[in-house]
Amino acid sequence: MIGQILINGLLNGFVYALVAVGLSLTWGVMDIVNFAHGEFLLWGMYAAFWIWSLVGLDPLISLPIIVVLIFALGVLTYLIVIRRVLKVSGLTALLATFGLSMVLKNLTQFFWTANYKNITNPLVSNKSFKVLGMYIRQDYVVAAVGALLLTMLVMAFMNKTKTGVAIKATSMNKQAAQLMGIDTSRIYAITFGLSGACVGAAAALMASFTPIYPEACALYSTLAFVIVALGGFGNIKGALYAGLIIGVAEALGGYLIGTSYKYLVVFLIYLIVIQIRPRGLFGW
Amino acid sequence: MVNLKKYRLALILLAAFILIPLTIGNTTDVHNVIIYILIYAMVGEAWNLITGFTGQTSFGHAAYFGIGAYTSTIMLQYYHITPWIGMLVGGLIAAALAFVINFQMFKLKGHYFAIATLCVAEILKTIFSKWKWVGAGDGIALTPIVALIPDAPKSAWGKIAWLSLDVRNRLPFLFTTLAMFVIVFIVCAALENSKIGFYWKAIRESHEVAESIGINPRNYKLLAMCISAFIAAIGGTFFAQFFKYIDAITVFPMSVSMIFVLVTVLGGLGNIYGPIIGAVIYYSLDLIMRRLTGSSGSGLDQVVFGALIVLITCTEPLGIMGIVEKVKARLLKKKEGGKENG
Amino acid sequence: MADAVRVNPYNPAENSKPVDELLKIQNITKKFGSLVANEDVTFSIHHGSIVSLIGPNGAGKTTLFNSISGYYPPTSGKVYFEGKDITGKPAYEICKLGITRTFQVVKTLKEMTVEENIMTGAFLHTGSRRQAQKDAAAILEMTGLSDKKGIKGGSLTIIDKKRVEIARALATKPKLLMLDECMAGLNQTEIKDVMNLCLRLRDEGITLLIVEHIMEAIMPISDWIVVLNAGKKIAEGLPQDIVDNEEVIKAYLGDRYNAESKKS
Repeated sequence: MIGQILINGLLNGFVYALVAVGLSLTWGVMDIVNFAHGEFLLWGMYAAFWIWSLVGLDPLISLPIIVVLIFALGVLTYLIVIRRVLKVSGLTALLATFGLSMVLKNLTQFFWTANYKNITNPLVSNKSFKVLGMYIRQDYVVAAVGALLLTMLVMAFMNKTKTGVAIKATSMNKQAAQLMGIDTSRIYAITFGLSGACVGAAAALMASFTPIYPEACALYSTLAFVIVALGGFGNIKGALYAGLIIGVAEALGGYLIGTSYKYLVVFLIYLIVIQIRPRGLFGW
Repeated sequence: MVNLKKYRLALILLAAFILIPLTIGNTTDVHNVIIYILIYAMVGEAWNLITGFTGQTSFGHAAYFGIGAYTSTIMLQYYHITPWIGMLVGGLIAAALAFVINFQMFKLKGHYFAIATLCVAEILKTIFSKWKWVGAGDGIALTPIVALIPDAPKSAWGKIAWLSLDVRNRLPFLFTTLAMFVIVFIVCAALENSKIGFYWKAIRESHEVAESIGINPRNYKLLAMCISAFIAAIGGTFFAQFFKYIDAITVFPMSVSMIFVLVTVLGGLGNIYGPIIGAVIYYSLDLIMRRLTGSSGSGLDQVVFGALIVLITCTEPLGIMGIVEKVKARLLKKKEGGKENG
Repeated sequence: MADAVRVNPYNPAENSKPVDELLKIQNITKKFGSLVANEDVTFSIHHGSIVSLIGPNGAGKTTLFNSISGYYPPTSGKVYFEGKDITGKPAYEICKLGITRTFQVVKTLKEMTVEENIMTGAFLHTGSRRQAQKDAAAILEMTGLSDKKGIKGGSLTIIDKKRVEIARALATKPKLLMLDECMAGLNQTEIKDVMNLCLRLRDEGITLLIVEHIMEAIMPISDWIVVLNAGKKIAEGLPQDIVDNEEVIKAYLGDRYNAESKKS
C-alpha cells in the first residue's frame, strides 16, 4: 500500500517539478516573482483543450504547439510588462505580474465561462496496469516520464548551450554579463519564454486528466513557489528534487493523516527543512 | 507644536473620509467600499511596518488577520465578550504567535523568509478549516449580540450595539473603523519618526551597517513583526464584525495576504500614506469597474482592473505616492526657480 | 593648546608612561575551510593613537577587521577591549562597547538622507529624536556635510558617501574607530581632507585603527604601523622604521613607497 502511495506521489512530483523548474528560471535568474506563472499553466491547458476540441489533436501530440504558444506568451509578458519594472524593487514587479494574472485568469472566464472543461477519450487512457502488486495509471506515467524528459532537456540546455550559459551568467551578475557582451535584455526575454515553455509542456501533459477551469492552477502555482524555495533559488536540479519530495510528501501526508491535511505536510516540510538549510536544499 | 503642514495630506484625507460618506457617497454601496478601504488600509499599514520599513517581505499576513478575526468572533459568540476586548486579546495572541514563529524564522533571508510566512498562513488555513471548535469548514456566522443576550431590555440595545461593534447601522460602524484607522496611522507615523523607525530602515537598507552601529537586527525585526501582527489582528476583528461571517477560506488564504501587499505597493511601499492611498485607488477602481460592467460575473471587470494595475505599475513603478513625490519636487523646483528670477 | 607637543604613545623616546592598551589582539587565527586568512596575529592599540594596518591585497586586513568588529568570530585567539574579552561577541554588542567600523565598500543607507544616516548612528546613545538630530548636526558640521544633509544617501558622490560612512560611525561616539580603506578612490585634496579629519578625531580622544593602501597618506598620520602579508604579521613599528624594514619593502612597499620617496 505504501508503495502504491509513493509511486503516485512520485508521478505527481515529476509534473510539479516541471512547473517549478519554469518558475525557478524567472525567479532564480531574473529575481522576479512571477505571479502569473499559474495562469501561464492555465492558458496552456485551455490551449490544449481547444486544439483537441476544434482540430481533434490530442494534447500529447499538440504539445510542441502549446510549448511554442506559451513560450510566446512568456516573451510577450517580458516585453510588455516585466521590462518596464526591472529596475525597481521586486515587489513592484510582483504587483505588475499580479495584475497580469488577474487579466489572464479572468479572460478565460470571460471567454469560456467558469465551467469545467474535460478532454474525453485521450490518446493514453486512464487505465491502470499492475506492477509488483501496484496499480499504476498509464496517463500518469506518460505525464511523469514526459515531465522528467523535458526537465532534463531544460537542464541540458542550461549547461550545454551558449544561451543557457549566458542565462546562468546573467543570473550571477548582470553587469558583468553585460560587459562580456551578453545582450541581457534578450536573455531575459528568452528566460521568460523558456519559463513559459516549461509550463506549456506541463499543461499539455496534464490536460487529458485534469479538469480545466479558471481556478485550476492556483494550487500548482502556490506549490511551485514552495518547491522553488525548498530546492534553492536559481537551482534547477534543486527544483526537480524538491518537486519529487513535495509530490511524495503530499501523497504520504494524505494517506497517513488524511487527504485534507496533505498540503499541511508540504508546508511543514518547508518550514522544517529551511531551518536546517536556510538557502534551500541545494542552495548556494 | 505639531507641524500641521507636514500632515496636510493626512488632514485632507481625513476630511474626505468624514464628508464623502455623509454627502455624495451616502449609499450603502459606497459605505461598504469605504469600510473595506479602511480595514485593508489598516492591515496594509501593519504590513508596511515589517516589509516597507524593515524590509522583510511577508506573504502571510493573513495569518495574523485571521487570528484576530477568529479570536474576537469566538469570544463574542461563545463567551459574550465584547469585540473591543476581543480585538486586544486577538492582537496579543497574534503578536505572541508572530514572536514564537519568527524567533527562528528571521535568520532566513529574502525570498526564503517570504515563502516561510506564506507557509505559516497556509498551515493555519488548513488547521482552522478542520478544527471543529471553530466551526471547521462551516465557519462561524456572527449573530447580533441582541440575539446573544435575549433578555436585554430594548432600551439597552443601542449600548449593546456599540459594545458589540454592531454593523447594521453602517455609518456609526464606518466612523468607528475610521477612528481606529486614524489611531493606527498615528501610531505608525510616530514609530516611523522615532528611534525604532530609524533602526528599522537601517536594517532594511543593510543588515551589516545596522549591526555596525549597534543595532541588533533580530530584536528590531521581531518588534516590527509583533506590532505588525497586533495591528493586523485588529483589522481582522473589524473585518469579522463587518462581514458577519468567517471561515478559514475567507480570512487565511494567500489571496487575502496579497490584498495587503497590493494596496500598499500600489500606494507606495515604505510610505506611511501608501496603504490608504493604494486602498482608495484599488477599491474605487473596483467599484467603478463593477458598476460599468454591471458585475455580471463574466470576469470582464477583473480583466480591465488587472490591466489597470499593470498599467499603473509599468508607468509609475514607485506607486501613487511616487507620482505625488514627483509632482511635489517639480512644484518645489518651480517655486525656487521663481524666487531666483524674482 | 595647539602648541602643546603631541606625544606618540608608541615612541619610547617620547613616552615614558606605562603603555595604556585600548585594544589587544592576541594570536588571532581565522580559517575559511582550508584557506588561512589570518594566522597568529598579535598586536595592540594604545589609547589615543592612530594605528595603521597595511599589506598587499589579500593579506587578510579586512578579515582581521571583521574578526575584531564581530562580523565573524576568529577560529582561535582573543580580542580584548579595555581589558575585557570581546572575542566572538556579535557586532552590535561590540559597537555598544565602543568600537565602530566603516566598510571598504561603502554602504550608505540609500533611501535615507545624509542627516538620517547620521541620526541612525546617534540613536545609539539616545532615544530622543531631537537629541539625535542635535548630535547629528555637530557631526555634519565636523565632516563638512551640513549643506548636503537633505540629500538621499543613494545619490551622493563617492567622497560624500565615504564622509557619510565615517560620520555615521562617529555618531555612535566610539572609543575606537576602525576605518577600512576610506581613502581609496579619492583625489589628492580629498585624501588631505580625510587625513586632517583623522588627526582631528585623534586629538578629540578617539583612537583609530586604519586599513589603507595609500602610503603617502598613512605614513605621516600614523603612530604605529602593523604590516600583514599572506595572513601573517611580518612587521610592526614606528612609520619611519617600517619604511626601512627590508622584509616589508620586499613584501609590499617595494616599488611603490620607496620609489615615491626617492623621487621626492
